[in-house]
Amino acid sequence: MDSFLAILAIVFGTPRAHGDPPSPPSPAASSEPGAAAPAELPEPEAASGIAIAQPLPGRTRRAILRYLLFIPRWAFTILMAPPRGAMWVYERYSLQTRFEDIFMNTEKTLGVFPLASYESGFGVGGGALFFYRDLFGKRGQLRLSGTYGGLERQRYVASISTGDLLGERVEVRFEASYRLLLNQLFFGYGTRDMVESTGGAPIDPRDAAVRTRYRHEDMKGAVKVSVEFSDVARARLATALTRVDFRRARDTDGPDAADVYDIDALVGYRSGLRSLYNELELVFDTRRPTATLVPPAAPATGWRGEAFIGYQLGVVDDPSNFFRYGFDVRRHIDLYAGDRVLVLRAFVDSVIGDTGDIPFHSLPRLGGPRALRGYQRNRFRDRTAGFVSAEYRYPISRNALGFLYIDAGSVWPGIDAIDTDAIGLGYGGGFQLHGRHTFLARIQVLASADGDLLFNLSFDPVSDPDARYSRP
Amino acid sequence: MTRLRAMARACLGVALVVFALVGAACAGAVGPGVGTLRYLNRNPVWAVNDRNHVAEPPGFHPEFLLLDGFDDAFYRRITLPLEMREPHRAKNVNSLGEVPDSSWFENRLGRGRLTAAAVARGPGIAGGPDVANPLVVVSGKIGGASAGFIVEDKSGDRFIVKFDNPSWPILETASDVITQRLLWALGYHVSDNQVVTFRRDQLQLSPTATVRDQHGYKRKMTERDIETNLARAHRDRGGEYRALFSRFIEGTLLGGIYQEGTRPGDGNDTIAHEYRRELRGLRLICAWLQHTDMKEGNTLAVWIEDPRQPGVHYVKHFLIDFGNTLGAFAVLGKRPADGHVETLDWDYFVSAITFGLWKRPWEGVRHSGYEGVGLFDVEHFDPAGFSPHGPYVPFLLADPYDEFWAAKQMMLLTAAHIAAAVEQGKLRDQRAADELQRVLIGRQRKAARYAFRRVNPLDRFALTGDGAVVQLCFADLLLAYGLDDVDALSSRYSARAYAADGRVLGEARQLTRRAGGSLCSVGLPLARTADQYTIIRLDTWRGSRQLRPVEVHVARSSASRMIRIIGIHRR
Repeated sequence: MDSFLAILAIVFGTPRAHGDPPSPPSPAASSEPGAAAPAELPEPEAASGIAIAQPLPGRTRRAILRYLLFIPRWAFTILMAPPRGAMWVYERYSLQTRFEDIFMNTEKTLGVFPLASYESGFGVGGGALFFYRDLFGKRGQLRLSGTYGGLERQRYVASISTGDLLGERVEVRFEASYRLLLNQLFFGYGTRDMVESTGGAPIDPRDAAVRTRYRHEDMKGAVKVSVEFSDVARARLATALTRVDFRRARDTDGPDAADVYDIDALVGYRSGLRSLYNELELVFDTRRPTATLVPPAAPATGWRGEAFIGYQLGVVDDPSNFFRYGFDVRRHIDLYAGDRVLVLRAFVDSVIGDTGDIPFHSLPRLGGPRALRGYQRNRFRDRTAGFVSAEYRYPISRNALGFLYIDAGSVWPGIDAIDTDAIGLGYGGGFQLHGRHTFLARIQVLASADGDLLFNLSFDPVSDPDARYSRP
Repeated sequence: MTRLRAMARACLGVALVVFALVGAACAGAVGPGVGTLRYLNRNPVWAVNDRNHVAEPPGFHPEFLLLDGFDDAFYRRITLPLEMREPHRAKNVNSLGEVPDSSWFENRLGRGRLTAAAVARGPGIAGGPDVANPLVVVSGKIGGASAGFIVEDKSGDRFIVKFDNPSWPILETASDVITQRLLWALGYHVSDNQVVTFRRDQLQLSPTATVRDQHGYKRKMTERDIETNLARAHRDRGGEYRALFSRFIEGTLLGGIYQEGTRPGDGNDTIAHEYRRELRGLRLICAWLQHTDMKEGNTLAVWIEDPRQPGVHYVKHFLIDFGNTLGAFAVLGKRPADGHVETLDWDYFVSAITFGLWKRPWEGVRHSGYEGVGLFDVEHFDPAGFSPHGPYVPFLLADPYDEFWAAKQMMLLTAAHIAAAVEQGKLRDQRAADELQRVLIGRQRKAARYAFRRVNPLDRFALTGDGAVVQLCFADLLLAYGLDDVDALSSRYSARAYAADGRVLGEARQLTRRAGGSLCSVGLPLARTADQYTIIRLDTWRGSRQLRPVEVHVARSSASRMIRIIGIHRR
């Protein structure tokens, strides 16, 4: 009776509110550790005390399905065996550590990174980037990269920057590069509708837009001095000595530029370029995230304004003698919660000079994965190029965002000839991966009102849409 | 055309058969009467013997982060449904549906003896390291992302020392100790953790101390290694370091607890882990505590000597490493979705195709602004939608009965218990402690409400009378805890007795709820057999919705000759 009263007292308590909850059921009536030697306790399987089990409903049906699903289950298991095996090997043998042992130093200031990209019409490219991030002991950087395939058949870039050697606000960067582009695209000048072929004799590049290829090979040496005025404003002065040669393309999917166009009308094609280009660029950047946990790599608000003016002068046989100027303004607008962001952008790139002094290669261009997206790379070129863009970015995960965009723009024979008669319209969307502070990759589908449909994938920082737009 | 019609008829026939099969399975066949399940006429078991001697330590179970993550997030997600497993309820429960004491779990709250002071003390018996004397650094810390090392105090006890991220002082250490105390109170075996402050001059480097570099190569530890670690640690204005001291668990470490199957080499481990109620029910507890880093790697099996039986070794099972709980990971990992989605989750896919128009469940979670408190609130807490970083198989197989058990355990924790645990986090700002306690209580009630709504939450059964009729009293936990005012008005109950062979023993009796949610059914007849084995079926209605019945099995003990409850079956 005592044990019964004990059960009653402990088990059945008056129900109470949270702050004073009821007493729990008591195990007092049974065996407990300490109360009985372990050997006297029942085995775990005997705890349920079930004498007659309740049959599970649907047992036969499940058994039949189990036998039927045996084949897909094992097929999937076999299919997954190689990647799972690879993962096991990767971890069991610490391949990442071994990779880092080989390709990076202990402080991770020195190492090698893979680079990869894919773009419709150019194929897959891959390469590697070697870096050393503590040059002079002042966070200076040495970067050596090489890629093969894709847009650039060969690209080798070496650069050295001074880091904090000249102070925290001044940095000098020396850069040397070699690029071989076997199949650059040329569509003539202006905004004419594209045609398959003109047939017959070479034509003036302004008369028709035909998708042609040419081979481009350049070498460049540059010195760039960056001065930071504040956290949001900086200037950059750059001087570059460039040598570019043009030849016939090889093994292309279309006609060669020299077969379609009158190459004498393509300034610099025959002579190549040997030019000196100087440029002053001013940048104002107030972009920042508005929510604590949104990474700075996906800023939600602020402006980024970039204005530049440059002068290119040819040496030896290069006819170059012109000014280049433009601006690129972006406004990030936080639509909701710091991660639905509208990015508005206006871009103008223009040259001033006599037509015969401006090489065809140096003319402002539109088309490709960054400027007037949806059109083929370099689809439009003329003395002035401009586009506006609206890109809506939305969150997917901590390191991924999606985006939808619409770009509208065109090229014109001059800044005074801007009109809206032949505006190109591009639209599309995709996904972007980023780290906390850095761009990692972009995958996008690009379409145009003229029927182009392109695909672009890049693990290369040059595809960062928020990075500086590089001049030719 | 005729052939087409025949094909259509065949398709319709197949569809009807499938529909009938699915319908029968879904219906669960909860009709009148009682089920076929019968219990042995004995007292419920509250402790089991899984401490038989294991002569050799079973093999070490290494953690493969990448492979395990892939398996959890993708591979097992495909293969598990294809296995078409029987939907077994937990297999390690006693006849009341409770978890007996074992090498996995101990009913600390269930005994009703756990005081707030005991929660404050936790599993530790020695009360943390001896900081009155120098702490000797004996090696670097292995694993984990945070700074730390291993020290030995004067009494020879060893501790893993972990520090807070300097950007978020107090957060990880406080979260770890608070969660550790609560899980211990709930019955789990955990490591003995304490928040301790010390000065740099209290640390001495052992001449034999070693450290492994990032590539795993062992080398002699230097003062510079200590300085490097301390440079990554939070230091308060007085120059003292605050750290988590986690006492070494004695014994041979066997690695994490397998989330499926049993451990080879451990003869005591006879119930597949995915069928253990304390692991399946842990899903709700992890949801409450936002313990999103629940994985094999944060569990530990240890081959230890039984203190009550020298020379006898068995495997004891621990939960470890709680620094990412209570919303700490959401802040440290910059992951506001923590607790709502897995690392790979359909929600991300839905996010991608809804273009930001979908307001996701975790959006709008705001940090309280208090030091030492993570991204942890009540408003955005969804017990049903809780997800750890990666799927954990026992969580995938958890059923409403596992979570009912877990909710009952959680609700046994009083505000005083919770306050005692929070106090051990040693938050500097009392407002932060108050906020944390408020959120913990709010989430505790929300989790319990969710779990109690999924089953017929009748519990706390007590039997009186010892003749031909008995009185059965019980409580509706949803209402007893005041978790739902609406259901309180619409709830109805009835009781009816059945003999062991399923014969009806009397009329169904409508029951009236008393204040506080308790109910009693008087005059229930008992079967006229030798053991008077009787099943009392309890039905509950919430408005017009009938909940699945609860069957209380009673019988007369052959030893004590008393009528008592021998089992509870929740259909």
